[in-house]
Amino acid sequence: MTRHHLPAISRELKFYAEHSDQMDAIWDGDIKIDESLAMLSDEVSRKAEKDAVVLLEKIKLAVDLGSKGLLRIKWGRVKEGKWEITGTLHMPKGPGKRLAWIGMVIGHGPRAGQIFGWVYPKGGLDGRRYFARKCNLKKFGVHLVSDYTDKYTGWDDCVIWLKAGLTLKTSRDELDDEIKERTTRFFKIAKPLMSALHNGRVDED
Amino acid sequence: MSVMSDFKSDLLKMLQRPTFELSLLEKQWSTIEAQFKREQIRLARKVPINDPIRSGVDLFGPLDRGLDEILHTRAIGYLLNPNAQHGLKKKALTAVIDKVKDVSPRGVGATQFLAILHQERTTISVTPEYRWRVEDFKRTAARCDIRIELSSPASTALLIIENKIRSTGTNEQLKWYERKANEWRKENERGIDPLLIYLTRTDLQKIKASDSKWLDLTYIELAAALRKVWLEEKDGAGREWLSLYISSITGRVLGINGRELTKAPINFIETYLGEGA
Repeated sequence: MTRHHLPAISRELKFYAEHSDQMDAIWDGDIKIDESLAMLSDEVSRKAEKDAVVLLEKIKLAVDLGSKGLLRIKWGRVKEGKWEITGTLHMPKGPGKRLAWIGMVIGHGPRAGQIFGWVYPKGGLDGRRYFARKCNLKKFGVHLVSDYTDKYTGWDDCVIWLKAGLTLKTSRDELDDEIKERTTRFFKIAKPLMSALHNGRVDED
Repeated sequence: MSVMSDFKSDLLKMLQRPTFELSLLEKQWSTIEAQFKREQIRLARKVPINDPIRSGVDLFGPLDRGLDEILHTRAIGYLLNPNAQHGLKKKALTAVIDKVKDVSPRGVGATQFLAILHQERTTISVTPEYRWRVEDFKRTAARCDIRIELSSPASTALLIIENKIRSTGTNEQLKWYERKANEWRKENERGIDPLLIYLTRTDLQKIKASDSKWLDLTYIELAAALRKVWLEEKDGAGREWLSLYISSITGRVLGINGRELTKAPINFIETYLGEGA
């Protein structure tokens, strides 16, 4: 039987992501355009925002499944208009101390067409560099925002561990599977590193 | 089976189709984009060539601390302190409070604060990272980001600034500072109602509760207020430092590329230029 894949994103989400600066300016009334066009643009923005919330909820679920048994995530609420969900990472059992921060972002503007996953482990810049180096040594490609400031203007200096394409052809199921699989692989490597950074016990090579 | 398959395929096609609104919008989009570009160019031209926003040099970037909340708190505390050696006197503090009055519909207390600030015999104390002793089993001390106390022969005033670059402050935390400010008010008979400012990177971090006593201020609004001082203050010793700090806000906190102002969000440049836009 032919499998019919539901698309991960709607056309409205894609359009908004690619033109977010202009559509935000129209929404805020910072640029005066024909009223009927402004209404159209606002309607498309509204639909895109709603679709983004649904997508973020799906992503959250996929990350939760991928991290099962490895780390526990306490997510914040998905807010309309934010295109990002953030949370904190904890050991699956025990006193529940925060090991790191985590976030999943739907790219827009210059980063349209991509999903990003970031973590912010403890230990300051040295800690982040140590973390990135160790992950890369274990053949899991991550990078620091501060090493690519032109690509991530205005972002915190976190560690990017997931960068996945998001087009109209991306199916929900494929995206779920990719996020799940990558989360598991990443957390297996990240867990001891985050724990070491949290306890201030890093082994320098 | 094939009927079902066709049905599913049709459903999928329908789902992938753009909405009626998007189809119409797409047809007109090139006109909107051209208009948008013209507006960006018009605004960028209004920014002088030596303006801090255009400078590629800032205070915290080279130290890899562009978004360090504590450093920003210290920098703001320094600029708002009329007794510091920057020579700007009360100008930065006045400009920031003026801005709060403009942008916050609930900024009534700001007028009273300014009146006390401008009295000749007012003494001002600015404390960044102000520590409060907490009688709570969980913590022993709490820090509010900036605490400014004014004292004139006739009255006293208190200003608390909570600075949030990364996350959103918890309601609990803000309520706690609010309670402390109210206690100060009770202890000071000559005191006016404390002024509470919640400084955030984006509009999205603003406090939504309508009964909140906190007045919102965003970083771009702060940059606009400081730029006003920079424009007025031609010879002050701290002018260069002020310029570098404004550049730290626009470049590092807000991610505006000074060399490509025609690509910056319109609302940022409009707010930054203020009435001049």
